[in-house]
Amino acid sequence: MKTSDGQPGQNVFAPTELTRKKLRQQRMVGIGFGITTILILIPLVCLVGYLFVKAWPAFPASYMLFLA
Amino acid sequence: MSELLTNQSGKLSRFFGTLKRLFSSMTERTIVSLIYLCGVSAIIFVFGIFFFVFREGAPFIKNNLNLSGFFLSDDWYPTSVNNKRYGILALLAGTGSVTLVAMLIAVPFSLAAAVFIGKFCGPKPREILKIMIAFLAAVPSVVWGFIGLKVINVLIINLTGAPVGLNVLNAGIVVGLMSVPIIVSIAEDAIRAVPDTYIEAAEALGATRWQTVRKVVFPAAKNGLLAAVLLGVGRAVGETMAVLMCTGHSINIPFDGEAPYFHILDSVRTLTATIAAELGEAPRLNALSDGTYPEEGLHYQALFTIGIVLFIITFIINIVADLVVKGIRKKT
Repeated sequence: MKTSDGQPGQNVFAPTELTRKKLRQQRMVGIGFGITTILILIPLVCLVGYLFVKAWPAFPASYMLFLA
Repeated sequence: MSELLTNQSGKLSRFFGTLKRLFSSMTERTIVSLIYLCGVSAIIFVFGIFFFVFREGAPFIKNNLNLSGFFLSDDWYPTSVNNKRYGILALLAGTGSVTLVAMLIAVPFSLAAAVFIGKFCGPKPREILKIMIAFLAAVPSVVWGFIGLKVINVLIINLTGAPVGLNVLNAGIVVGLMSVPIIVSIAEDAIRAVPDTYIEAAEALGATRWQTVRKVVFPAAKNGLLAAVLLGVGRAVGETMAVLMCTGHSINIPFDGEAPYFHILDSVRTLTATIAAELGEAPRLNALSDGTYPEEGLHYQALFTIGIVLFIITFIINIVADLVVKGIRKKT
């Protein structure tokens, strides 16, 4: 952006250092909360996975074909 | 003739109108009565359960309850041949320690998840996460107990070197995970119930989403958040099957006067697990001719007294929650 006399000017809408810091902080907080939420769900996935893995030999082929 | 016919038809239409009004009024009254009956029956059932539990435990309270021996002793030997003792201190400590660990795990994770779902993620991920968290609630408690017994038990032994993995930590993790869905769903509802105008005002002042959550949403939703945590505590106190499978079921107080004061790798036994494990083997005996009860029947009555203690604990939690929420309301 240039001023009327052709000199390079400052973009008045550009985020300031403070705004950038706040946005960075917000992003970090969002990621932190997201990781926490995923951490709660990991045991669920592991649990269901574990049950399936352990129960798999008990599923006869005929039963699985019946399901399909 | 035509006048007579008109007259008759007028009478008939009035008669049918009255009949229709009567029928509609009766239908409405029946439906209102049914709804009233449903509402009252819930209260009657609760009182019925309390009456039954109190009736079964009353003889023990009346004839054999020694308050200091019951609440301050950790000697729970209800089937001893020579010296039967009914001290529930260790059971209370077990329930308290498991609830404490469960809440230490569940509350931060659940509140963070509620904030993320309510304020940070988009509509599509929100729906997916909500479904997955609801799925956590759908896992039966016996399956959670199974996981504690077969997976977390081994993990704790391998990671900590503890001789037994069925302990406070194991039960705390399992009960904490079981409490997560209820805390998340209620906390998220509380967060989303904060009026949009509050959030818009904060954003208009240049606050980021995190600042809005910290300074506006949390204070405005604290009643709901507190209710969510207390319901989680209620769930943890009342949980039976998973706790029975994961605590090791050993009568032990995991606290002492020496550092580290709280032994998280100790096996414990809870009030609920004791009732579940022993009630089937405790005989219910009728009173003798002189009004006293045979000693063999005291075990059954003592278990019902534990049920009354559980009732009272839950009642106190609810009263405290109510008082705190009312106090917060008065301040705001």
